[in-house]
Formats: sequence, C-alpha cells, structure tokens
Amino acid sequence: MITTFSGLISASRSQKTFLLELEPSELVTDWTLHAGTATASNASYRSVIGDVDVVRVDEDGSVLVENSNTSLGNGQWFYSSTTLFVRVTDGGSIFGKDIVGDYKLYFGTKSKTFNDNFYHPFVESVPTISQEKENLFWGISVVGDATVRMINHDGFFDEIFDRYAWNNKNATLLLGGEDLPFGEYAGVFGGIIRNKNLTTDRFELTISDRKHVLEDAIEVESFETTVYPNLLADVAGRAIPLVYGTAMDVPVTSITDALGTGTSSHTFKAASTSTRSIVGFDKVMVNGVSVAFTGTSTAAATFNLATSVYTPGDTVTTNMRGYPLSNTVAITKDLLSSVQSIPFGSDDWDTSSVAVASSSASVFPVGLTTRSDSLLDVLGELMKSCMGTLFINNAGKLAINIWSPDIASGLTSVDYYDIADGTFSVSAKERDVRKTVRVGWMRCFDGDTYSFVQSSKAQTERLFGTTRSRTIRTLLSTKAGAATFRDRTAFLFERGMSFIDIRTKLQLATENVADRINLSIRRRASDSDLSWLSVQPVDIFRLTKNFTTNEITARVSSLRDLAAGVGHWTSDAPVLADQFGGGSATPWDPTWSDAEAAHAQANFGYWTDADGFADATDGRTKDRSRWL
Amino acid sequence: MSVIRFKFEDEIADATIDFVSDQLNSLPADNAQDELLQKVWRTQRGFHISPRNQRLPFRDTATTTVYEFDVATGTYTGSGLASTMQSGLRAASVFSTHAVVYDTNTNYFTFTKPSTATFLALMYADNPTSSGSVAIITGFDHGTTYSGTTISSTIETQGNEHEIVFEFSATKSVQAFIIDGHDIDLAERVQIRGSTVGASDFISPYNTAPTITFSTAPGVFPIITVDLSTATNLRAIQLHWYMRSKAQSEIGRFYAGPYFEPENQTNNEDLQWIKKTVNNRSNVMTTIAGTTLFDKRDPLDEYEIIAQPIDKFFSSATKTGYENLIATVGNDVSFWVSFNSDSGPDISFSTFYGHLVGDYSFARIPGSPTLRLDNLRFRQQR
Repeated sequence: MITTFSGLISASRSQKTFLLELEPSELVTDWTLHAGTATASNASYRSVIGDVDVVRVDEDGSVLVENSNTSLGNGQWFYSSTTLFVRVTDGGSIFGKDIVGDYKLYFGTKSKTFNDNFYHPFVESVPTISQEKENLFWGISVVGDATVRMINHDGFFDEIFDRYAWNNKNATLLLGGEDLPFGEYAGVFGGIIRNKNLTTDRFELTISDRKHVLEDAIEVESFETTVYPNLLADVAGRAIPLVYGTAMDVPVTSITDALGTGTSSHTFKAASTSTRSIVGFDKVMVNGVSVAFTGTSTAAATFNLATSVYTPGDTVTTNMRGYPLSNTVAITKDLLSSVQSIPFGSDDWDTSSVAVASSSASVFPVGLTTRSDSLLDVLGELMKSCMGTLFINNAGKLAINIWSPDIASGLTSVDYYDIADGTFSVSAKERDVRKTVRVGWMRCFDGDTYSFVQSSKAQTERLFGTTRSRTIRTLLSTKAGAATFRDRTAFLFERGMSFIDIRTKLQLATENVADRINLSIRRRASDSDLSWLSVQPVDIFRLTKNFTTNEITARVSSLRDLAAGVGHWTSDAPVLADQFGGGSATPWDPTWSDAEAAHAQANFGYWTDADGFADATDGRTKDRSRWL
Repeated sequence: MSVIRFKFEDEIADATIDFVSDQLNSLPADNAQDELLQKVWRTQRGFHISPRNQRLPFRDTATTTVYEFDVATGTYTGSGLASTMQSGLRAASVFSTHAVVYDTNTNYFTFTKPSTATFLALMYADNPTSSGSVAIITGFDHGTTYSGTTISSTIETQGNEHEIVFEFSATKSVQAFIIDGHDIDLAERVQIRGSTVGASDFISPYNTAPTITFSTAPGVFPIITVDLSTATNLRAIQLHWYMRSKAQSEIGRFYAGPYFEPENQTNNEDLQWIKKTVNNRSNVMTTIAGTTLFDKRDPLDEYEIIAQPIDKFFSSATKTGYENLIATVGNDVSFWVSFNSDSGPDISFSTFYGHLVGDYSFARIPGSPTLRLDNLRFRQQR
C-alpha cells in the first residue's frame, strides 16, 4: 500500500489522482428575511445558494464572522444545507449591500473524499505545465498558462458558469493517488483563473500563474509643488526614486530651484522616504566635481548645497547609502510588498526557500536606484546580480533560488531506471564557451558606467581555440562580491555547458527550475555509469510536466566538475566514509582506489603544488582543487 | 433457482427525506439519492441525539415511578453525553447524587446510583417509555431493564446510531432494497422497515407496526441486498442501523423499488453472461533499463448479458419488461443488476451498479412468434 508521495512517484506501478480546488465567488442576492426586523437592527436573512463549501463571506469588502448556528449576531454568517444566513454589521437591511460569498469547489480525476469534502470526478484532463529559466544561471521564470478541462456531467456547471465569478480566482492542482492521505498530496500548480469556457459536455478553465503581479510598473511618489512649493514647475511630476544599498552617481533633484538666486543654499532630495530613511551621503558632485555639502537629513534623504558651489541648472549627483537593504532577496521582498502589496508571508511566498536564498545572496551585496521602471526589469537585474532565479513554484508561491557551488545533500536521483528509452540526448554549443569573463560592478547610475573585474583562462583558448568573452553588468556594490560572481561564472563558462534532455515519469513532479538533481546514465545494467554522468549534480533549466501521460521532460545543464562538496574552512579532520573503511583522508594517498580517490576529491580539498598536483606522484590529483 | 434481476426504478431517487438523524454539511443525506457511486452521505462523529433516541427512563426509588429525562438534541462527545445525562438524572429524580461517566479508553458508560437510593434501574424494556430511548447509543440493549448499584454498558460504544426516513410522493411498489457504498462492516444491526401509511409510522426506531422488516447483522457485504418474494406497496421506507465500535458512518446509495426478472429462468442452463474486465487503460513507459513503468487506471467491468430468445410460447411479460428497462434507463441512467445462481454466493456479492452501453433491438425470428433480443452490455458505474 503506497501512502507517501515519494513512494507514489518512485513506484513502478501506481495510480495517480489529481485534485483540483477552485475558489470562485458569488454576489449573493435573492435574500429572504429569516428573523428579526431591519428597523430593530436585528435582521438576519437567508438565501439558497446550493450545495457548496462556503469559505468566507464579505459585506461591502469587509469580512464577516462565521457563526455556528442560525442565531446570528451583527456581522455574522452561517451556512447549512444549501442555505446561507447573514446578518449585516448594523443588523439592518441587507439590500443595497454587496454580500460576496467565497466558495471552494472540489474536483478530481477520481472521486475521493478528504476532510469531509467530496471531490467530484469531473476532471478530464490536467494541463501540461512548462517552466523555463530565461537565462542559464539567473532570471525570472514563470509557469505558462494551463488549461484544465472538466466534464459537464449532468449540467453541473450550466448555472454556476454564469452565477459565480471565476476570473482572477484561485485554482490549485494537487497530485497524489493510491492510498495517500490528503496531507501527502503535493501541489503541482497554483494560479488564478483567466478564462472560462462552457459547452454542453465540457467546462474548461485557463489558469495562469501569478506572473501578472510582476508586470506592473513600480509605483513611486513624484515631486509635486503641493509638497515642495519651491519646486521648478517643469520638474513637477518627476518620479522620486527608490535607492537601496550603496549606489554611485545617483542623480538628485533640487526642490528649491524655483527660488533661483533668492536663497543662499539649495536643497536636494535623493530618494523617496515615505516608508524608509536612507543611511547617508558619502559624496556629492556638481557637474562631476566633488563639492562640500551640508544639512544632511537621512529621514528626508536631503542635503544642501551653497549657491557658491551650485547654480540652478547644474547636474548634481551623489554617492550615497540608501535604504539599509543591500541583499537582493531582501530588496525583492521589499519591492513586492511596497509596490505590489504582496506582503512577505506564507500565503504568497515559499518562505523557507527565500530564507535560504537570502543567506546565499549575502555574498552579493548590491546598490540600486530605480524610478517607475518595470518591476520585471528591476527584478531581473536583481536576480542577475546574485545569480538567482525568481519563480512561481508548484504551489503558486513566489520563490527564489540562488545558484551556488554548494551542492545540497539529499537531491532527487534520476538514473537509467527512470529515463524513458530513447529520450536521453546531450548537446553543447560552442557559443557557450568563454575564455574571459568580465563582471561590471559599482555602477555609476548617472553615466551608466561600471567598474569591472575580469578573469581569463588560457586553457580555454588552448583547448577550444576561442578568445571570446562574456561581459555581465550587475548591481553589485563591492569588489569582493564582484570577484565571487566572476569566479563562479568563469567556472561555468570556461568549458561551456552540456545540455541534457531526458524524459521521466513523475520523479521530478515537485521540482522547479533552478533545482538540482543527481543524474546517472549508463547504457546497460552491466555497464558502468558514464564517467561524466555518474551521480552528477545538474541544474534544471527547463521542465515540461505532462500530467495526462504522467511524464516529465527536463532539460538540465551539467555542472561538470562541481562535485558533492565545495571546500569549507573547518577544524574537523577529514575522514573517509565508512564504506571505504574510514581512516584519515589527509594527506593524499596515491594508493587509494579510484572510488576512494573520487570520494576524497569530492569531499575534501587539498593544497596543490605550483603545477596543480595535490600529490605529484598521482596524476588523478591535478587541477582538482579550486577556489570559487 | 438462477435469476437475473434488473433493479432500475429507484423510488428513492424521487423521494423526500422526511427524517435524517445526522449529516455533515459537505456530505448531506441527499447524496444517497445521487448517481455517483462514491459520493456518500456521511454522519458527524460521535453521539448524535435526536427526538428518536433521547429518552432516558429510570427508577431509583422503591415506588413504581419511572422518571424520564430527555437529552437535548445535538451531537455530543462521550464525556459530554455522560455529563448531560448525569445532570438530567439528578434534575428528574428526587435524588441528586447520580453519577454517569464515559471511559474514553474503554468506550463504556457507567451509571452509579445515588448514595442514598436503594438502587438505580434503566427502564429500557418499559414500553412506551423505552421507545426512542438512549439504550442503543449508550451501549445497552433495547428491550432490557438494567439495575444495580453501578450499571455499565454491555458493549463499547462511540455512538453512531443513525436512521433515515424516505417518503414517496405516492404509494410505490417495492420488492427490492439495496444499500450501497456503505461502511457498515461489523456485526451490528441494520433494519429496513416499510410503511403503507407514511413517514409518521416511524416515530422511533423501535415502534411497532411497520409493514415489512428486514433486520440483519450484515457481516461484510459490499452491497446489502434484500429481495422480497412478493412486491409490496409502500409509502415510506426507514433505514435504521448502529455500529457502535466506530465513531461515524457513511452510506453511498439506496435503492427501493421493484425488480424485473425475466421469466422462465429455472436453472443454470438458462442463465448466461460474460464478464469482461477492461484493463488496458493504463499508461506505460519503458525505460532505458528495460523496466516498464505503469500509471494504473481503474479497470472497468463490463457484463454482457445474453438475453434468451423469448420462448416459443411468446412471453409477452418478458418482452415488455425488457422494453420498459430500455425505455427507462436509455444509455445514461445507472441501475443495479443482481445475478444469483444456485451455486453462487449470497446475492449481496453479485449485485452490480452500471449503465447500458450501445443500442438495443428486438428481432422477430421469421416464421415463429419467437423474439430474439440483443445482448445487453452493462458497464460498471464507479
């Protein structure tokens, strides 16, 4: 009996069941007085709404409280046996108020009863879900639209198609089956309903993920003469930028230019301070020349310049420390909560993945200023600067994954028992090989110029005959962060990437792009794994989940020599694993077997000599210890 | 005798539910009138008290006075019910130190007499007060008087005594009952009663004068099937059951109505069907390793019922029966078929729910009054 999700997707024979939970709403009208009177402010009303799970009831946008019986107090509701009872907040007439009921409907590919809810077996087809990273190592990945088709059994949807409000309502698809309890069902898609379609035999919904919340422009305050009366008229309406972290050459706006020569000092505002204060100003430049400045206010993000150094019309920029947030993940959370009203919480975010990402992104502090730019563009820049991927996960929550050379333990393993015959293929393109990587940091926002760090690998030119370079401009604000970024990307580009395509059953059902899996390939059972694909960690670049045939097609990119562990400073003495009989793993022992040598290289670092050998007598040790 | 019986005129489908002991909002009792097999009526967990099982009749004095306390209707935990009964005993009696406790480990109620009383007796045998008593739900037997210093339940109980009453719009002919999709799998009682008068005939689970009664410890029957030898005209049906070792019950579907049994099925040689299992619905994938991975789909059973040519003496009743079946169910109404052969198991193991597939025709054999009928294809409804 299979009772766990991991057991379900790894079993050679199993029955899958998909559950679909829809959350439409209804504007409830057709009220009948149930008890009391409106004039006495104790009126409760009833309306027959049908057999449905009522989750919430709103009166004019405010939530009402659920009661346990029909004896309602003000602002309460009760549902029983197809009838909804409501008493509005003032106990008076319900007519003229918008009473909206939020419902939950339960469907599945098979009839099930969970938590005393019956899942009607009307789901005929579940969508194919695709997820792809826009860039090899960073970006914003969103799941595309998906269509769910249900059987309109006995006209089940005929009336509610029109009565209920479906668009923009939540839809969640869960996967389980066999004897799994409800708690083991895994979310495989969460989104909102965009379109509905009804025929006599089918009811179709188009569901898309929440990427639309990322497509808006960042809303910022603007300079207005009502707030800044001495503002030049032609500056009014200009956006007041947001400034995060350490930012160079940030253009500032004078809020006193209208005074002209009628003042001895002008005031400049650098950033919006409606929700945060800045940290401080380090340098102010007028027409590119550093000048003295006074009257700093971090609460207002302002400073003053004497008319001896500034004349209205001059270009003023500043090197400043803006809001005390320089972690790309923290900035992403802040932008989405302040701009899109998506507070950071488990309703909208995969909070555990974000916590991990925040820690991984801490090596990449950034500085950023932005006006009313596209949120997608800004988030894209942030993700690029930390090698991160922002995506909507299987449950419809926002999540972030930072590319890291650390390989986690417990990765999903895929091997030749899992891969469909004839679907394994590998490709590599020359254009992905780069000899030189240049990383731009410390961006000067006014002139859009950067400082650069660079690395170059002679071996790449010798092996591939290419001198091509890749330049990546980032928001990084420290040289150390830029150097780390450079070293990681150089590692990935110096020998190019191999893309591996495979098709499996549902072993990857709960994975997302930017996740890692361990991949092993061999030709036949009696063969050994390919030497370069033996429990090899790979990054998922693209996923297509076809739940009709219960197959997943994945494109993964090999991490090449990046092994099970990357060196960490530690006081622990390195010891070989038990299967090798324990024993010290240092110094390198040239008599180790190949398996022991591979284990030692994967888990422990070794100082090498000038030629790159950890042990000059053992050729296996050459160039196997690297700093990233 | 081998028979096929077609049960397709379900009077329950159009009946009104006159009384139901308990139900969940999300899985109400009228689910039992729904076609989908796995959409059940499910009761709440625990001890549900209705006007039909609320009475606690007792004596605790030397006189013949029988006191009564009616437990308020509602759903209780065991401890909650014990506490309510204790308060009720004290309020109804001249004494005030009765004790009632519910042991959540053993699931037994224990009644203790007042300290100054001579005895305590639970008068569950005493008509009419015993009608509608708490005897069953508290782990006692109906129709028995219990007395002593302390009185404990005779059987563990988590409540779970329920009933439902269907009333038809008019008198209907009933010859078969089916209870499907149930979880009544232990040796407690299931009672089906019918009335020619109406729902008012079922004042309590133990009231007298039902027209028919079928009472059984059901054992483990996937579908409880009761066929009567003669049809009876009824106006209402009551189902009452208890399964006190479980906390709640569920019932999938009822059938009450006539059955059509083609004539002249007197022995095994006349009865013929083919059962096919449609199994080839699973998705398969072969891996590099040569392993085949399966996504299983539920198989479907399909019966082909070979209708005998209507005999050379022209059985018009059989022909009419088949015509009536086809006209009523078409290809979109599910119904039950019972197969019962002499050497076969209890009919409850050979009753199936499904719908007809395909077209149907009658063909008159030339030169004779005999009609040849198409085979009926009958596909399982899940």
